[in-house]
Amino acid sequence: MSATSSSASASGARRTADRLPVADTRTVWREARRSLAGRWWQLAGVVTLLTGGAAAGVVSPLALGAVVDIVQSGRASGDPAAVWMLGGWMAASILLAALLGAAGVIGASRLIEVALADLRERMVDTAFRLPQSRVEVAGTGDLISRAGDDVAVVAEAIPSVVPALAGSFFTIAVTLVGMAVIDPWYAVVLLVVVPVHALAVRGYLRHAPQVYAGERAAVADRAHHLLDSLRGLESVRAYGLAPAHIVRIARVSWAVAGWTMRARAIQNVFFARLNLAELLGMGGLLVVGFVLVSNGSGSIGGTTAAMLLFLRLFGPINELLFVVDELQSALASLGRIVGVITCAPQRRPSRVESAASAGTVRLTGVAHSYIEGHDVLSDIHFELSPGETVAVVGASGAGKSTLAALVAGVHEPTEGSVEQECSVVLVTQEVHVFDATLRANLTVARADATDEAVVDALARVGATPLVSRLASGLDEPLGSSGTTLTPAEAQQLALARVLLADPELVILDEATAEGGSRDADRLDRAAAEVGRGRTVLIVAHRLSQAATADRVILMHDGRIHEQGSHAELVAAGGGYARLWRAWSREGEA
Amino acid sequence: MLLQAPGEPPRTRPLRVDDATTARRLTLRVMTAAPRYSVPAGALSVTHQIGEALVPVLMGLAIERAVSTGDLGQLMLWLGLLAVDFALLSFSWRFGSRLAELGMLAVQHSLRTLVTERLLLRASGARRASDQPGVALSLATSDVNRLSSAVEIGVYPVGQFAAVLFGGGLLLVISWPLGIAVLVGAPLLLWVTERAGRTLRDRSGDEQEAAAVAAGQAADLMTGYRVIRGIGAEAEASRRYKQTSRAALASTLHARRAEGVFGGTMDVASGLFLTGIAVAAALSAVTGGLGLGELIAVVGLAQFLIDPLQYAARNAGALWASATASSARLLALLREADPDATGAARSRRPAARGIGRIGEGELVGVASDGVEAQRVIAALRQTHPDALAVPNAAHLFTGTVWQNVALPGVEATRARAALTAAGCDELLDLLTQGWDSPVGEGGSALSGGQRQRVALARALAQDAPVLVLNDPTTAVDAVTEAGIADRLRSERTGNRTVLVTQSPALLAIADRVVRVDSPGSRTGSAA
Repeated sequence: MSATSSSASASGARRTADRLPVADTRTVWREARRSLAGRWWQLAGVVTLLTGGAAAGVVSPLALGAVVDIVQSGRASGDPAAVWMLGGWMAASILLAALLGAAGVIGASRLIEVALADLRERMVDTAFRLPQSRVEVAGTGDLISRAGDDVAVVAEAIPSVVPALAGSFFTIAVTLVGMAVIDPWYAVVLLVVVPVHALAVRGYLRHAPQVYAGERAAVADRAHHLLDSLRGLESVRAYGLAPAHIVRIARVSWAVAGWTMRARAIQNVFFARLNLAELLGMGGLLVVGFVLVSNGSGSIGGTTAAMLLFLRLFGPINELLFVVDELQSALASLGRIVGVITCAPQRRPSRVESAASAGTVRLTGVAHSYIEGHDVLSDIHFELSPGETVAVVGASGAGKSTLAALVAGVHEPTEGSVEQECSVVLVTQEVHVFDATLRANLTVARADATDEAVVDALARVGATPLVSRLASGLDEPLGSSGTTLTPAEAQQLALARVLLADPELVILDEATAEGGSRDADRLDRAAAEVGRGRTVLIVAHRLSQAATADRVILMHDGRIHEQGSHAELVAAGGGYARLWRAWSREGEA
Repeated sequence: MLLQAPGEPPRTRPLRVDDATTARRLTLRVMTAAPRYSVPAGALSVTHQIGEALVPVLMGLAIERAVSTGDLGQLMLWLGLLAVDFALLSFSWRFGSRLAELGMLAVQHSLRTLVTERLLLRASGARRASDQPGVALSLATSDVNRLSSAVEIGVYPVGQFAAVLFGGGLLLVISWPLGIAVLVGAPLLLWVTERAGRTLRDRSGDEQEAAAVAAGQAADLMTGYRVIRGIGAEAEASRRYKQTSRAALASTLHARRAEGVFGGTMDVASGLFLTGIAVAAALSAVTGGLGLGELIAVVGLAQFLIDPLQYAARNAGALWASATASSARLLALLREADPDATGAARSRRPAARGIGRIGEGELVGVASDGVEAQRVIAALRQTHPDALAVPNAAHLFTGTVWQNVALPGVEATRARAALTAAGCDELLDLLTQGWDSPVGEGGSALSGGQRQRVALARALAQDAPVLVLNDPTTAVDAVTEAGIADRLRSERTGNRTVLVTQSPALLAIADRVVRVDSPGSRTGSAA
């Protein structure tokens, strides 16, 4: 009992340590700067445009203040020409502000979009250059969510965050200067209101991120439960589980509502505090204007201009504060994207230099463990000659797949050596149909393959009926947003890819297991075709595959138990012979 | 805190759907399904907007009556009124928006329940697009969310419309020519800029999707990570992603440019309009027509009115359009007819002939290929309506191994015996928490063979009087399969069982084996 719990906690600790890293803010900036290298002059241009635009935007309120002064001083005898001239200034400044502002926002978005595109491409590229065992311990799920969700979070944040930051920051700064120009005391009022804003933001940031994270998790949970029932709809019907599942879905669905209301409450408190800041600012400006006008050092127009400038800030300030949360989650996602990039981009580990000729594999004294002290394989010696087909059989957990992965070079053995100097392809039970056309699903294995080669490969694995079933033939979109293939068809695709990749060594790890009974024969024939003229290591779960192999290895508890040709092992009357008798009972009847 | 979501979803008006229901009518029903929340929320939205409209008016009056006169009492009065106005607008928003949200969530919930019931309870058979889990999911989430947003149309645009009426009325009182200029000019201006911007925004919407495509492709490539590494296609995968990413970047930049130009155009149009109003008001003030406070109020009001006008015009229309589009999609699901079961069955009947009735306690093996197997099972369902026909796909539900096997009504001893019979005992070595170990999403924590064995245990635990198993051990290795075959026999003693399979080990335990090939059928019996 104690052994179990200690190993469980050890593997738990291991898992955290082995997860792919998340970059800190400084690293994110460093990599972002690298992605923007050579674009510094563009950045300077953007800053100039935004400052100019914000400055032009201040002209209108100031001009309106001047208009008020004209009205106040020269009531009924004022000069309409002066009003017209100020109107002209306002119109010109509005045109200029809009032009510069729009150009600045476009420029800023451009810079950031380019940097993001570069970062996401570097992430995907790095992910494929990492040692595969590194990814295996971290789990591919982590990579999937970084490449999909995190990239989407950042991409969706940009349209609201960039204009808010670019526009608001400069508008607020320039408005402050504008107020100080009218009278420094007005700017002081603005500065006094800042702590109220700061408190509002701090309160918001203290609670909002957890609540939003909770809401996102609840939404994911809802999607997860819906998908769970929808994917298993046949089982839901067969076992009469629909009422129970409907109740379960309703429960997780209403859980989302709880989070949404909590988020709304936090937002409302935040807005109420911003309203308070607005009230304090306006009241403060009125009081300052009252004092300045009373003692003769300020004008009514100055008070009006200051108030109008402040009114204009409501939008930008709210916008800026409101994207703080989105900015935070975008930065968190960026950290996860950059984290992959910073994983030391090692080359694939070079294989042990050996004198073995092409197509030869030699395992000497190999042992392997995923968790220290728990050997999955031990004392493995064997050799594969060029062109030879070797089948590995044994019960689940006997170490067959680990053996295949070691030969393929996915993992380095903990002990002993694996010598293998040839091009190798590993096909496992885990098939994936890419979200692309049938053609693209195959040419992924060989980019320059002609349509003829593709059609030929499909024909050789017996998938010609598939091509004629699809309305658009090779151009048919497959995968998650296209036509769905049966598991057997998906495995045929996987085998056809091997033909196009044309390796010297092919490792088939139960690569024909998922199909139904009838498909089994077809897939076995396809596998035989794929192995023709190559060295083949096949992890077989149907003994018919072992019977046709040159040699059979029977594994038990991580060791090679029996080894020899099918006929030899059957004649020897050991474990394999017993298996074979059970398997072929019906065959003989 | 006041007005949190209650523990149980609040009841809404029933959302009736019949043959006469159109997409528009359903949208209207959804809009008015929670009047308990949306009516008070709409009223609060009106007071909120009026409070906002009063801010520039109070500001103008305060400058005229207090700042320009130096009267301290007036300053106090106007500061007080400003505070009251801010309290009004702030609290109206606070409770109004919360009520609106709660109403929308309640409607969303009952709509989702309606859709889920339809998806899970409808008969199988006809091939429908919504059979694809992804399509069904988007109906039950995105479309339900969009349609239930229609509740908001009855709340916020009402307030915005009220603000426009109120502000316009104030302007008319202050100066009727300026009032008319603003009330006619502002909507006209918005209409013109909206038309100019519509094509730009439509395009930017399309181009937003390009970014989503890039994210989707990256996730797709990572899902196929092992396959890509297995065939050594790393460079090609990376190249493909770069291609998609660059295409997405190009259209995203295009979208940003369109948005920037659109925003700039709106700024210029509204800015020039406001300048025109300000100049006209100032000219009127210079000649003595308008007072100082009125001048400031006119300028402030004209600036304020742009916002609610913009939202009322743009958001209400967009909300209605997207709600109606989702409404049409959901209607198609809620109104679809059940497939014609009798017609489908008639064509399948011949396949059952060779099998005949399953005798008491008999275990029949049916050796049949993939296509024929489906027909055989459909025919068996006809002759034995009480049969449990286990789906071929071994789908496990989120939860533990135990929760998957010991379904409601199954005794613990039955479940345990079934687990043993299905060869699951050796899983105990791998599962850290025994039968209470979670199986992961769709059983992803288990291998294909392990999943199949747990699914088999689930079927055996039901102790069904007639059990039809379709290829239950395809992903199970030969050693384990032989063990399962031995135990299956005694596990089903006294009950009728049909094994549709080509596995020799399984067919070997049958009382009789029927071969069903496409042309006809013949019967043979096993030793």
